[in-house]
Amino acid sequence: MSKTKEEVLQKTKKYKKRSQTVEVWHRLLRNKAAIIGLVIVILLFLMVIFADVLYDFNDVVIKQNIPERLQGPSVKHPFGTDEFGRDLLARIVHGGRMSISISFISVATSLFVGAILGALAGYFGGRIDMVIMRVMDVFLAIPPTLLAITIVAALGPSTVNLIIALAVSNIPLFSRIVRGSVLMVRDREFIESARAVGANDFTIIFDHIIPNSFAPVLVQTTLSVAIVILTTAGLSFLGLGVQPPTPEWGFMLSSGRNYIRDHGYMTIFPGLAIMVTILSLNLLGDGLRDALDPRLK
Amino acid sequence: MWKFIFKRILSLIPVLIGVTLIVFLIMSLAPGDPAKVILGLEASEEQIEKLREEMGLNDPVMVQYVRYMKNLVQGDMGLSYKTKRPVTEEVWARFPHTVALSLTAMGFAVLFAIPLGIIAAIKQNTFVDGFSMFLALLGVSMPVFWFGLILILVFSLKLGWFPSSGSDTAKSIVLPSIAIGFIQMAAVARITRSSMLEVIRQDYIRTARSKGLSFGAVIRKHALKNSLIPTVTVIGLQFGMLLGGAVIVESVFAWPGLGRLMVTSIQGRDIPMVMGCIIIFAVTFCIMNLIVDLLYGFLDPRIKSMYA
Repeated sequence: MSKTKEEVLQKTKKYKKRSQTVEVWHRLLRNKAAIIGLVIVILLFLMVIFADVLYDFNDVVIKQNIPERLQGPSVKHPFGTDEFGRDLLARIVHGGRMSISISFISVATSLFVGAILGALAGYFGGRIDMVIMRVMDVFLAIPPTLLAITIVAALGPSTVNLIIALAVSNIPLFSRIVRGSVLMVRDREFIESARAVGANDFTIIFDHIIPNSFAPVLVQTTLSVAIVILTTAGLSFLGLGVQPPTPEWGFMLSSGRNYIRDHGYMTIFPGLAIMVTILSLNLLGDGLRDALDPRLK
Repeated sequence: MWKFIFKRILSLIPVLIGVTLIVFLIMSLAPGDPAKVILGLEASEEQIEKLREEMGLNDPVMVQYVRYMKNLVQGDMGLSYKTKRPVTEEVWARFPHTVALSLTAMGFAVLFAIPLGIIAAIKQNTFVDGFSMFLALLGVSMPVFWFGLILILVFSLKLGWFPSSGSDTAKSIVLPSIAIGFIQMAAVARITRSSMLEVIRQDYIRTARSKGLSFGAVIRKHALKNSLIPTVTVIGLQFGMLLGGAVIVESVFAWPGLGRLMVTSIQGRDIPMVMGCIIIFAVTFCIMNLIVDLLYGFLDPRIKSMYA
C-alpha cells in the first residue's frame, strides 16, 4: 500500500483508452492493402488539385496538334497521342480532375440530402418515416445507372445535369444507411440524457445522432465515390455526360474505341486510369470498414 | 408458402405505380415539344397546336399520367415518335435479347463465383485465397465497357475467335456475357467467401465434423445452404447493376437489346420509347427482387414462417 498518488495516476494514464479516431487509425495502418489504397488516393487527389500545374488546359489538353496525331507511347508522349494529336497523359490527368470532382460533388450532395431524409425518418418514425422510406423504396426499384440515364435523358446531356442525375440516384442508398444507424442509437441512454438536459430535436439529430452514424456512412461514401466514377465514365461513354472537348475518362474511352484496331493504347490507358482509381478507393473502403468495425473481419 | 408469394406479389403493385409515376414525371421535364419533334421543322403553329390537343399534351401532367397508365395496363405504351410503330411491339422485340444476355452473364458469374468464394474461404489466407480475392477486386474495379473493349481487342480483333458485334451467330453472346459476368462474378465471389468464413466457424459445423462427416460433406450439406443467403442478396442487388451495365455493354457490342434501343431513343429524343424501355427494366428488376425474396424463403425456413 505504498503507492503514491502520482504512481497511480501515471498508471491509469498509461492505460487510458486511446481515442476512437486514433484507435481506428492504428487499425487502418496495420492493413497493408488499405494503406496502398490510401496512398494512391492521396496521389490522385494531388494530381487532380495540381492538374493545371502539370499540363496547361488550353495549350496542351484541348489544343489540337494534327501533325502528331495517333502516335504510340514514346518518351515525349508516355501514353501516346489521340486522334487530334493531343497528349493522352495530359488528357488523363485533366480527365481525372473531371471524373473525380464530378463524383465527389454528386456523392456529397446525395450524402447531404440522404442524411437529412434518413435522420428525419429514423428519428421521428411513424408517418414521416413511412412516407420518406416508401418514396425511397420506389427510387430503389430503379437500378441507379438506369435512373441516372433517365434523368440525363430528360434534362439533356451536360456536366451539371450529369451531377444532378448521379446525386439523385444515390440519395435512397444514403438515406437508408443513415436511417438504419439512427434507429440503432435512437433509444440509447445518451440520447435520453441529452433530451433530459433540454436539447431540442434539431440538436439531438445533428449533434448526437448523425455523428454516431459516421462509420457506416464513411465506408459507403468511399465505395460510392468509386461506383459513381464508374457510372460517370459509363454515361460519358454513351455520350450522355461530359461534352467534348473537355476530357473525361469515359468519353476518352469512347473516342479511343474508334481506333481500337490499330491504336489500342488509346483505349487501354484511360481504362487503366479508371481501374487504378476504383481499385484504390475499394481497398481504402474495405480497410476502413474493417478498421471501424473489427467484428466484421 | 403460397400466402408468402401472394403477399409479396401484392406489395409489388404500389412500387410499380410509384416507379411509373417517377419515370413519367422525370420524362415530362424533358425540354422540347413532342409535337414539334413529330411534325418536324416545317410545321405551322396551327398544325403543332392541333397535334398537341390530339395527343393530350395540353392537359395537366397528372391527367396525362393517368391516361398513360390506363393504356399501359392494356399493354399500350403509345407510338414511337421515330418509327411511328407501337412502342410495345418494338420493346418486346428487343427484350428477349437483353434477357438472354443477362441470364448467360449471371449464369457465368454464379457458376464461377460460388466455387471461387468457397475455395477462397476454405483455404483462407493461402495463395489461392489471395489470388482469387485479388481477381475479384480487379473485377469490381473495372469499368464494364472497358473490359468489353479489351475483350474485343484480344479475342475478336487479334485472335478472331468471336465476333466483335451484333447477334448473328450463337458465338456473338460469348464476349458481352463475359464482360458483364466477370464483374458480377467478382462481387458474388467476395460475398460468398465472407459469408462462408462466418459459417464454417459455427459450432454446428464443428459438431458435424466431430461426428465423423467428411470435410466435403460438411461443406456441401451443412455450410453451403447456410452461407448462401448473403450471396443470394448480392446476386439480386447485382442484377440491378447488371441491367444498368447491360445498357452500356449492349452499346459496346452492338447487341440488339433493350439497352441499346434505349440509348438510341435517348439520342433521338424518342420519349415514349425511352419510357417504355425504362418501365420494362424497372419491372424486370422488381420481379428479380421478388424472386430473390422467394429464394430467401426457400433457403431459410425462419423467413418463410414469418409469412405463414
